[in-house]
Amino acid sequence: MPKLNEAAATNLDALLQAVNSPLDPTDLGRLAQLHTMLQDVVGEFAADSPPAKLGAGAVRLLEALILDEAADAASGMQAIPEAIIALHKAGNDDISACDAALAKVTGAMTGEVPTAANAPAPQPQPVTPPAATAAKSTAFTPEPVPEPRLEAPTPPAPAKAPAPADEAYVAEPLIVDLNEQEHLQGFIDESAEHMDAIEVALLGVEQNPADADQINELFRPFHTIKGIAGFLNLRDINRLTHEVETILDMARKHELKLTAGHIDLIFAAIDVLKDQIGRLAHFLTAPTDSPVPQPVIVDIMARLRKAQRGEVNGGGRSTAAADAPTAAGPAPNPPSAQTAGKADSGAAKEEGGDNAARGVDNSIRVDTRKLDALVDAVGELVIAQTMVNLSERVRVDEKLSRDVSQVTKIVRDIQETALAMRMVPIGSTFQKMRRLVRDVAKKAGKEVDLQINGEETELDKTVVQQISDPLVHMVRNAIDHGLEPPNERESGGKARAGKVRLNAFHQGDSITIQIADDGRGLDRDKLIKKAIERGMISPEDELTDQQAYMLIMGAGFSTAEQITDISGRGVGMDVVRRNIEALRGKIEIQSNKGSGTTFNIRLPLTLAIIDGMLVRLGDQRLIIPTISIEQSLRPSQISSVQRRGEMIKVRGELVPLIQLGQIFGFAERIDPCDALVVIVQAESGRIGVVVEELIGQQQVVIKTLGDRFKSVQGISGAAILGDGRIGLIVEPSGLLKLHTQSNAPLLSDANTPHEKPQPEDPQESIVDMTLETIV
Amino acid sequence: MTAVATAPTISSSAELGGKYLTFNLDQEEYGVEILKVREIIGMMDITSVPQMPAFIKGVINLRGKVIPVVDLRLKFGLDQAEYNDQTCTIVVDVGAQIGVIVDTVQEVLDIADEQIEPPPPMSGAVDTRFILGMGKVKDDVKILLDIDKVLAVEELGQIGDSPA
Repeated sequence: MPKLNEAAATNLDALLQAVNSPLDPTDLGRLAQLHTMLQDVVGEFAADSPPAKLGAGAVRLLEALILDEAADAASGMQAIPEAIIALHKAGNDDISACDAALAKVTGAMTGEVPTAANAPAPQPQPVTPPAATAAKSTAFTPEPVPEPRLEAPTPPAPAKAPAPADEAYVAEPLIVDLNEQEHLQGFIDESAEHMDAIEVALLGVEQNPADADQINELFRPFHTIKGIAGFLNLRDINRLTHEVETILDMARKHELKLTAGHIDLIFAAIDVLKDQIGRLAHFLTAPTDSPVPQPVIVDIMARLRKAQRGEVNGGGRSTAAADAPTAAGPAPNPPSAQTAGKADSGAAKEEGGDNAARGVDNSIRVDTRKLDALVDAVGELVIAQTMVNLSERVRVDEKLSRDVSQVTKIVRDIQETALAMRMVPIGSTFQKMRRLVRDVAKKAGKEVDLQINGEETELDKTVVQQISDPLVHMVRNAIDHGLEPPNERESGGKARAGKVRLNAFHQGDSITIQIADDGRGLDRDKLIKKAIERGMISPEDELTDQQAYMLIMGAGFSTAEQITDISGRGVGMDVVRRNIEALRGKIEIQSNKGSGTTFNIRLPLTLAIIDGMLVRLGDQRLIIPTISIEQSLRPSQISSVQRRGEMIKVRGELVPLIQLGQIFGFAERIDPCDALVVIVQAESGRIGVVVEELIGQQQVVIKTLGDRFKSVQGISGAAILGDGRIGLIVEPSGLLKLHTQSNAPLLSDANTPHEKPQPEDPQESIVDMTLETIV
Repeated sequence: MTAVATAPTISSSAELGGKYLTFNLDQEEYGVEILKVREIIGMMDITSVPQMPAFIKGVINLRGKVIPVVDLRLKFGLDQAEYNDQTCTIVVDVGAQIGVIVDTVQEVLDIADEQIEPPPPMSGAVDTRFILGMGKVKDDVKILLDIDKVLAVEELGQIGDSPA
């Protein structure tokens, strides 16, 4: 027997660890975990060797135990650890204990003394006692025995032919037990994670179809989904995943060579599975007694089964793996040697780490509302703490002061931890793009090399969720518009495969997500020409490069000469921009004609906290988000139009002034020259916000104002300030809208020492106006 | 209360009996179901919110929650009163928490079904939509409010879109 590779040895060690305490038949989680781990190990032993048989037997026994179908559960609970110990020995070249352990396993399964030492292998052709076959078929058949309707037409079949493959698929309405809603919801959440893992693994398999590690990675999540779906009586999901699992199982046993056709088919199956789960999720939002709508899976089931039979040896999976003809198939790439070599590197560590992680799961699922409540409470604690700090007695009493500052430090830590709990790595979102890139590249006839960096960068969960759609759009655009077709690239001296890079990193107190391609770049002149055609700008407008590039983010703008079904309808990018702005983020574009385009999305670390500039107007304090502030200044000259609209010139550009106090009705107009003007970037340009005083910069926890204040423009929320009072958070774009709708009162002579600029040429008048200044 | 009197409002009386928190508003006495009341607090610093009708005084910080406050006098078209140490904010839960400013809080009364009758026909200027019924306690009449309706989003939002 060949020496096991390191990864397998680690697996075996982990298994041994996992059974060092007695098994409890009701602890299904642990049994399922053992099941998964055991399955990984079984494939490592040479087919038909005693340990392989023992492993396979133990896996089936575990399945039976989980489904409560084993004839003798009590002895099963003992047989499993024994089997694992025997396997561990076998891992060290000592297979002596295998046969005895297998006999126990089989005994527990059937409830009788086994007739033969050779346990049922995964293939049904070995002679097995009838009872064992029955137990086995129930464990392997997607339809558990208690479901008589499906089982009825096919009970004798399992003995003769591979049961799952030949059993006709019969569509049935899915009726869920509403008492299990919580479990179902848990299943949906968990499946979403598995789906991501599946797609990543499948892309890995596509790259390297003979890599058994990758196939295992892929097999595992399918298997888990199948298992839980079985528990929850989600028959279609269970059946579909079972069929996929069968293909994968055959592939990793080298009974079947995965082809591009298989991969595509599995992708198709994933889409169906997503649809199934999606509809179930939708159903649960408003559950009823009626059946859950489910997609028709007859077709995909038939294709999956055909793939199992048609592509393999004609004889189907009943041909033993060790048979010469089958072995000839995978022979050109000896899998075990290859995997072992590969496993020695990073894969081995990953595998080991993965197992360790499974042994001690160090994360728990928490409702985000609870987290938010915690963040709120901690915010309160911080404020209360501030009040204590300010108290007279603390200042006088030195000991008290020391103690209080200690508490302050702890409170800070708690606040940081509370906020960090909402943070998740962006990796899974990036990984989802792999599938997208594959599909889009295929459709667009391009070759794409996707590089992902910064997966571990953490962002607020809400941001991660909401950035996904914009990213999809941008990646799609990068491939469809950004990258040239392979031939064009080649003639331009570039590699055939275009590069698309995704990156995420922290930069100060924000995070930047980068989408870069090395394609043709943006054509400034073409953009401007198009924008003029569309009436978005006038020919006289002088645009900076950045402004010209930003045109593609405008509504109804598309530069693709040909509208494809992937992109190019000009509805994408402005939606992207709005989504990102809704997250209080910003987009910057860098581009070089001929060598590519880079989009930088700058996002706040968390949605719960912003950096704000606290400003005062009368006795009201407001917060202007720092991200939108460009500068603040005390103007020396202002000008007005029709004695209403005021403006100042900032670096050669006219900026309208907004009297914050007046527009919100808090205060009278104040003379900007006696006050301060904060220059703020709004959606459609810069504005100057007139305030009485800048109090200082601080981080604030954002609170929404709620439904009753939905109609308020120019205010995005509120924050509780250090003294416990509330400051409203200014939203610049809404402010500008409000400003243009408002009827500013005529400026009185007393506070308008300026002349009206000449309407024909306001720039000129402004220059003239410099004489009319107040200081 | 006679059978004839109850006839027009079939849906009312049956479930109306129960505990009410009573309070004063410009010499009138009102009641609100105690189950809707979260707490009673003194006046707090109010941060006004622009573009809102006058009766929405703004928002307060209720232990870290930002909640709106409504001056019930202004909501009912009564004269604004100076706030003093008698003035209270009743925090009610109508899906969201909202503070309601009243002149003084009185007491919690158990008002039985048979003490409650539908509001009599009144001048068109009186908004009877908000009235659950009239509670007769000894010689007094308490106006029992349907606080959910008074503070409904539509009620508060309607006048809110006036330009600044």
